[in-house]
Amino acid sequence: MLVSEINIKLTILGQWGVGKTSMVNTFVGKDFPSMYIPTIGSNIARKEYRLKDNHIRLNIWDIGGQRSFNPLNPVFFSNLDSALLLFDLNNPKESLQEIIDTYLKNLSKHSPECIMYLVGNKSDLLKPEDSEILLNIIRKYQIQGFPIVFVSAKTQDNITELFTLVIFDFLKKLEESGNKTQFQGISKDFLNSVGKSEEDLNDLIINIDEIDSNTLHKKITPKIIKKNIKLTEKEYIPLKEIKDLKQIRAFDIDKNKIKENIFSAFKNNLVAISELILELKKTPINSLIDNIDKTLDDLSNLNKDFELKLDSILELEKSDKNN
Amino acid sequence: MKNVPKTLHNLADQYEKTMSKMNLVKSNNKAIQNLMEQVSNLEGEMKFVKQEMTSLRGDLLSSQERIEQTIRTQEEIIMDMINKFNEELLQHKSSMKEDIEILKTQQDVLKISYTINEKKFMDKVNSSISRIINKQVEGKENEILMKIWMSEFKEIIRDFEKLKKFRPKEFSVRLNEISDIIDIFKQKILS
Repeated sequence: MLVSEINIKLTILGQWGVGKTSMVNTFVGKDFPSMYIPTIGSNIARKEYRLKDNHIRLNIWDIGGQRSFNPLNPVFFSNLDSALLLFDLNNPKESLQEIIDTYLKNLSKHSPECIMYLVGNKSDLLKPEDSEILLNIIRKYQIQGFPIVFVSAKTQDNITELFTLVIFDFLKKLEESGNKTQFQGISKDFLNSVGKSEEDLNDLIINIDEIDSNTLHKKITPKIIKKNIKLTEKEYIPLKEIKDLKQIRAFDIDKNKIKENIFSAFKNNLVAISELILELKKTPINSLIDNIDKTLDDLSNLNKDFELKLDSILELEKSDKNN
Repeated sequence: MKNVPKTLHNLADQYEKTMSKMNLVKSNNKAIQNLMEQVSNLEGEMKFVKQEMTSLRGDLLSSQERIEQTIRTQEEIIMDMINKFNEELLQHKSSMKEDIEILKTQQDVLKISYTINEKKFMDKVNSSISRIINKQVEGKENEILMKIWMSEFKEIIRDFEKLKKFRPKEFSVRLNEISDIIDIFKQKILS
């Protein structure tokens, strides 16, 4: 039997420093970053799942949140299947406001059909006494209609589960709207393959209108069972926004690490381009023209992203020379 | 008597006739004698001529022999000269061959030495170019790769816009070409 390939384009959006890259890194098996390194443009990571009759590829677009040197590129919002809107549980006001002002508008414009999730990160830093305040802030912003999930990239709490939920929901949608015979039972097959149940996933979602602070705190208290992470090892230092890469020296950030990250993202994006072309090769003739347009859009926007990356490297070089 | 005179007359006539004949004979004899003399003279002359001719023939023969001898001698001299020339030519040739062999060997040595020196020189040039380039690109390899890729990628996007106009077969070929370019670059960057 022919194996179907299912590509899911998921983008992770949110204010700078909310932990988008950390979340993706821990999900794909990389270490939690030891320091804050801003993401330049986008970085595409992928995770693959091989089921009996289907091959699922989750393409995760991690988008840099520093607006001063990361202009919004339409490719971050177009042709999306799912989006994670990340906010910081320790700085909910600003990060939720950014979601409303910037990301929700663009998502409803470019990908109104995509499945969105509101994700609060850094649950490991949330103090019990702050839970009530947090709930009130979230309620005040009235971001409704999306599942809300709290995670900790640092302790990896709910990270795998969140991505499992994303894929499960997408597959459910596929079962309902797509070729029913071909994809029937695929969501259950997927859950079985990752050893999760639908109840596990439902348990992730927080009903913000009904939950109280005690229950919330119990629900999100980190289990600290993964990777022997010691939470008391380092004191929490608030992050500072970097507005100009040329001034990076003032921020105690390893510039070479930024360059390494840019190049690593460059490589990942190159692989993504290769896969876009591969996908186009497999496109049936009746949808070829549409797919060429779609691929061309993605390629043009990725080109802008490459330009941004190269410019950023040159900016960093300039900062070397200036100093 | 009358008859006698007649007979006498006849006799006299006959006598006269005979005498005339005798005179004729006598004159004939003289003529014969003259002729005989002449013949004898002629024979003498002929003998002389014969002698002369024999002598001439002898002279001719000896002269011919001399000429032939001279020709043979000249031939021998010329043959000797030719042989000598050939010998000298052969000697010259063999000595030339040796010289050519020596020259060829020297040429080969020169060629090898030139090749070695050229290689050494090119190696030196290449290594110094590499050194200069490495010095120039040190720490910027990724940046340079990114720049190269971006110019390549711009070409790909330009080509992509034309894809819709292609027929399925051309489309497939062009898409494969694009895919190959990306793969080559991917290998370069990922290696």
